[in-house]
Amino acid sequence: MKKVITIIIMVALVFSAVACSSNTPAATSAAASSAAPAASSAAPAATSAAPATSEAAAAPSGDHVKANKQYTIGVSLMDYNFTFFQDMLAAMKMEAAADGVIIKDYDSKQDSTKQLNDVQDMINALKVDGIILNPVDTSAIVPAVMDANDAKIPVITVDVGAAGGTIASHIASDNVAIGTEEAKFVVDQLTKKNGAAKGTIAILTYPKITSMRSREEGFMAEIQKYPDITVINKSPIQVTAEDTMTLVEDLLTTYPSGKLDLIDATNSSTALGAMAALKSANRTDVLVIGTDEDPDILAAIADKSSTVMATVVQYPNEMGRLAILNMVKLLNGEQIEAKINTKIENVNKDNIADYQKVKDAWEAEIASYK
Amino acid sequence: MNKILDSAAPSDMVARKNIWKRTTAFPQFGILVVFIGLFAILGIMAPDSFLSGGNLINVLRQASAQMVVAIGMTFVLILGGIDLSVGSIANLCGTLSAGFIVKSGLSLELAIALALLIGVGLGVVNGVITAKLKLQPFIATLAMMSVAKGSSLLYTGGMPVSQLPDTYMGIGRGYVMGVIPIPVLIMIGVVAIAWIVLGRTVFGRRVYMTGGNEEAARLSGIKVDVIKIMVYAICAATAALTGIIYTARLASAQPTMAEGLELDAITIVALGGTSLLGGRGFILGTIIGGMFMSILSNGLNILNVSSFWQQVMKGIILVVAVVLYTKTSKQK
Repeated sequence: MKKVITIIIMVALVFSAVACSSNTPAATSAAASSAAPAASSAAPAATSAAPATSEAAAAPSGDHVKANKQYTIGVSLMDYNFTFFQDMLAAMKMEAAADGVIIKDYDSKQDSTKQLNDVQDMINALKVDGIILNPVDTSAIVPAVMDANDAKIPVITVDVGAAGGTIASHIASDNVAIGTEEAKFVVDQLTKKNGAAKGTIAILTYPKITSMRSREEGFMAEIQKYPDITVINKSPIQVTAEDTMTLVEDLLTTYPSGKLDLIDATNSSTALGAMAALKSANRTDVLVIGTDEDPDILAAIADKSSTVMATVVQYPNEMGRLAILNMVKLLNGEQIEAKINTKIENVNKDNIADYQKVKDAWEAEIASYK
Repeated sequence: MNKILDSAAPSDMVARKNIWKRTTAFPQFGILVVFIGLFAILGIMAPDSFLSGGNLINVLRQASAQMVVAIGMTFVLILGGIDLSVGSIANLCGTLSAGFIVKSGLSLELAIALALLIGVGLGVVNGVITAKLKLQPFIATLAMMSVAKGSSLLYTGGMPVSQLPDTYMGIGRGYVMGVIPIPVLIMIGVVAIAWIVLGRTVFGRRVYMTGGNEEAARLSGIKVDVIKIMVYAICAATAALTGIIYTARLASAQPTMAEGLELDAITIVALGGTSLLGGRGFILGTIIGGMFMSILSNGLNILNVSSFWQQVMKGIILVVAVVLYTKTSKQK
């Protein structure tokens, strides 16, 4: 009898756990997001908040398209731990609300197997109408894309591409161009510091993520034009700020004061790790150039005494918005472009104030969807 | 005289009580009820998505890789040992199978065969260190975990191994007779072999005996060291096979592939009623445990429950299940 009671308790536990967890709003799956349920409000009030400098950045509130029916779009992003993807997702939710479609989003947590499982669930169980993918790995996503192709579900990739399968459209920044832009700025900074295009720099890379690999390619292709610049290439084991901080601390020991001019970080977490290491070692002789628009990086650039000189930003809100917009157009039966490049911008100590205004504007727009 | 009369024909109520007792005494009764319960709730809450044929076949396919290694882990736990290296061995062997094709130009069959062989070899090492050097299995396999993981990273330089031939990807995506995914077929094969070996061979009996009481087994003439080595070899072989299934499903060997696999495997086996102390274990339990975990993941995913919640739930369920099993065995 005791046994039966314990069994019933266990069953009840599982029942209640599943039942109460299904009451969580469908769209919140990231620990970082606030508890406010998303997309349930009517058209957001901030749609008309286009700032005066709207020509500097693609105004997030662009054209919308009414969906022919309430499509369900599955979204799988690489890792919700980056503001980049949080912004992208929020912009997607905003566009979805405006166009009249539903989003079911999943965090892959940098795990290709989880992403494959999530996409297969989208196809087999949720039976979504379209899938928007930000692959953890360009090659590992191919079976998932092929499964979607077999099920005749259109796929759009965002920020990172897929090495195979049929993709309706790829929406990303030109990551090679980001690398090239950073390299050019490095040369500019070294010339200011050393009088000529010479010096010792370190580049923090992470070849596992294809967008970062492309930036490394663009950077190295440009920097190799300057034989007097020595480049040290380092990658952390995991692309976290913690791992990068340890890596850079060791680097600073090997290259004491005066021996290292600049560190270029090819994404936001490596930039943050480098900044933390420099701060703790109190090395004000090393300049930093980062990537992406993390608030801490921007704050450092705005700080005149900080050695963080610039960051090349992308527009994740644009990527997210265009992804949903184009998916809806496609599902409605229209043609869409196969490749869409979104804007990048070199934000440095000269233009940080203007950029911040533009950013605040689109942040305000998507704030209610975070 | 009275005694003979009393035991002649049990009354109706006693008969019913016996059947009830027999059913609930069946060790996996608890987890089976919960499994059916979970299936029922999910079926009610999301009939179109969860109960669709496509989804159920998909769940079976998703369950396959973990089930294979869980079967191997069942052997180890019955023995009274533990193998923390299965995740790293899965990673290393899966990666090697991919690398042999892409970097060394071997054929698909040869690459996989070689990778499996290496897996067996690593298992033998685990067994030898545990049995002959008398190192605790926890420590021995922990060390192997590090060595295997490091070796895999050295081999790939931290990069994924991709550009595998379509035939390899076909293992992960293909179907037999149009309906059964190949990984599911592999899982059924491994389960069937394990069932026969554990339940109906002398070797299987000896594994139970060694796990139950090693000294007694040794005294009764069983070559305990050989049994141990073979069991760890079996476990590592299943881990290698799991790594290959993962590689096939992702059409590439990812550096983080199979991370944490050992914990999933142990959870599945424990859910099935196998005691971590040894001497007691059930393939059927592992099967139900594995299916339960996969259906839980699938169901929670469909209901869009945060994966953080999923982690918490898996932990709670594990505790409840093990407590239940301990109470059950005490009643006996």
